[in-house]
Amino acid sequence: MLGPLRLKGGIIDDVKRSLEKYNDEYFICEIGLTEEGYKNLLNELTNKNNVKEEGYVNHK
Amino acid sequence: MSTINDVLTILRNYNDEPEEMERILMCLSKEEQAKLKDLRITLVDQIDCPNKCDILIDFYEMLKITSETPETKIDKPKLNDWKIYLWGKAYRNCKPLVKWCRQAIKDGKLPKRVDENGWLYLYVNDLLPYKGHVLDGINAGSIDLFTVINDDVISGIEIKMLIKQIINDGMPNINPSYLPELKAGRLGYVAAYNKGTEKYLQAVGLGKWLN
Repeated sequence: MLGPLRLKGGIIDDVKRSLEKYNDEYFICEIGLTEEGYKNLLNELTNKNNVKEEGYVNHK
Repeated sequence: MSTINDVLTILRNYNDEPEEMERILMCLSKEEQAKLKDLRITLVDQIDCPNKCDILIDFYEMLKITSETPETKIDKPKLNDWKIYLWGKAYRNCKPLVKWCRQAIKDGKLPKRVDENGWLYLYVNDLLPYKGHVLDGINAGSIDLFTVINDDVISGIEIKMLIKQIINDGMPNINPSYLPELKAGRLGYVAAYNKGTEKYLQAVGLGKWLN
């Protein structure tokens, strides 16, 4: 029983650790965008979510 | 390995379990949630886990409503304080109900209630004025005993505790063949066909759902 419980705690801790390393600048740089491009991407994402709400889902 | 790939790798681990994504979101601080909100752009495109993505998108859709919808000041119902959270378990098990509730909050029909974590919720009896309303979607059902008084929708362990009490009492005036439904948490379904449940629902302030 201890194994699965530890694993489930582990995945949450791992996500937390990775997010701790993350910052905006690093993220923008990593995906190769300027700040303006990043804002455009956020707008695109909003539109994409609206499409998903209507029932079209395309997970790559 | 990069930060984004770190998170992607972690989320790809195990199966595509929506409950796992919920547990992660519930365990993150607000600051960590904000970071994940940015990362989700990449996560949703690359994660290969549709169920986890669905939960992630839904979670931030819920947060969007909490931040953009005007505050409403209304007291909680007096007789019962059981909650329905408008994301997570209820969304997973009954999307038509949760979507209708969210839209009703945006339209000002239902009160906007937000807990200390910033999560949108309603009290069960907030829905009483809309009892009988037919929900959009094939086999979506309506706002009634069957849909609402159900462990799949109500948060916490309240329904489970009440069902445990009914079973411990020997299920008085309840047909024993309904035991599997009771154990599955479908108290409203059992109540629709068994008078024996009335006193229990009335005792916890949910009697109006019976009429």
